[in-house]
Amino acid sequence: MVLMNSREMLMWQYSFLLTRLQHMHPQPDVHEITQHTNTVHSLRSLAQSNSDHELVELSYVLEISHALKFNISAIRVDNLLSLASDLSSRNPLRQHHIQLSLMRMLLHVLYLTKVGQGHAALAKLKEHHQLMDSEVGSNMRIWDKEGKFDLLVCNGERKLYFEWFTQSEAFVFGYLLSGAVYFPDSSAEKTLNFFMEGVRVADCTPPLRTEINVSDIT
Amino acid sequence: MSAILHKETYDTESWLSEVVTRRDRLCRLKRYSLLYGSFAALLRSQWEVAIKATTQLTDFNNAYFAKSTSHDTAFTYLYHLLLAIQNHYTGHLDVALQYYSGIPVQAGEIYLLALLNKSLILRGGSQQDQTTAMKLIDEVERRLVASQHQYPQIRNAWCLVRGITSHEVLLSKSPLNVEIINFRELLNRVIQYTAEHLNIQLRTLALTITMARFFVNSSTEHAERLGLMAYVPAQKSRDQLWQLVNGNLLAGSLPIPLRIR
Repeated sequence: MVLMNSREMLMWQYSFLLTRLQHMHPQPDVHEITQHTNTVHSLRSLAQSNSDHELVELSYVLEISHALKFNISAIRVDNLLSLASDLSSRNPLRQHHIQLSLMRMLLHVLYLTKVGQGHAALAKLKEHHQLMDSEVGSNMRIWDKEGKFDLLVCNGERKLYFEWFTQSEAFVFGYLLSGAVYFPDSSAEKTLNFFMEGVRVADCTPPLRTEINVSDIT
Repeated sequence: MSAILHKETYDTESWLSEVVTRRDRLCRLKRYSLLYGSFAALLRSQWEVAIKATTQLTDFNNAYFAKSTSHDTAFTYLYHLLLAIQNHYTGHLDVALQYYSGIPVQAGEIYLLALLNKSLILRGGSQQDQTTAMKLIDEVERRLVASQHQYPQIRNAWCLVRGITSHEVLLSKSPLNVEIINFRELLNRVIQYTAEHLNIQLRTLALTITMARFFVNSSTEHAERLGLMAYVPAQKSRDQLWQLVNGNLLAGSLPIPLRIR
């Protein structure tokens, strides 16, 4: 048996918890849904006790996503959104992590749409558009082309690597979300344009580059 | 949509965990864009655009997902809903009913929406169908209460359908009849909530129904006000169907010809 130091042990604990969170049955029963929430809480406790702020922030995002996906009314999504936002700006190592901020913003818009706060969703969507234009779209270097990003742990001395949307995928999802927010407003012509722009960007992105022309539809 | 977000994948420096491939994710994003685009076109009565988008969605789905092992149940439910609504709109009511009935209770909000749409079809049928329609509406109400009103948009749709389905308001004119107040109150609530939720189409429907049921033959001033509130957004969205419906109602109810630019 190889003895590990506490830092390595911590990395393994994080890895196991994150892997546990990743593997979930597509149609879980109540027990599994509760287990998932508990695992997120375990991850958060561990990250909090080690002052790994970015991982704590991720745990908020994961819990919000879980609550929205399974309609868990016991989870106060608005409260978690505030905690995540607060933590993002208080992080002493790296403030406003772009991927975490974008995840939080997307979930916030989804949440507001879900609870029927159309005006608030629209305002938050505008923030999202600004973030996409000012950060994601204009600065290619902050977004890895494979969609990989890291979170700092152990006082910034170690990193956990993650894979999420690529830049193009983030834009396609943004268009999809924008269309969804404007969707109930049948007087808004933008809705269909957002969806079709999403299709166009997806088609222009390898490996989906196809011959289909969006103008054929509209 | 949160299901798509939920597919983030994690790995550490040491090893990669199982991932959904990038191609699959792009395909899923494109598929949802086409799906919602089809719904959006239907919602705005843009039939040709809706049919083209649905055809492209079906072709794309068959080309990329026919052999896929990862089953996206949310997509399947929404796709059935889309086909049901398309058949519903085009008058193929039996086919629409089949698609609506194929959406299981696990589909949550989509299931409730399917029940409401089913009830709208059945209320125009035999006495037995009408009884079934009322049962479906009651079931939606029970589930909304049980969910502690987690679905505000579905609650609005339920209020609207309940308001439409009630025959009592047409049969009685007594101001003391509680039922009348309740059903009108339901439609008023829809008008109020949909304004807050920016759900313009549901608001147009509620305004049109309120106008047609309560004011057309009694209060010209009210009818005109409500009719215009429904007509203008329909005109703005170039929704010919609802422009026609509201235009006809307004034209039939007003003593002088209406001119709207």
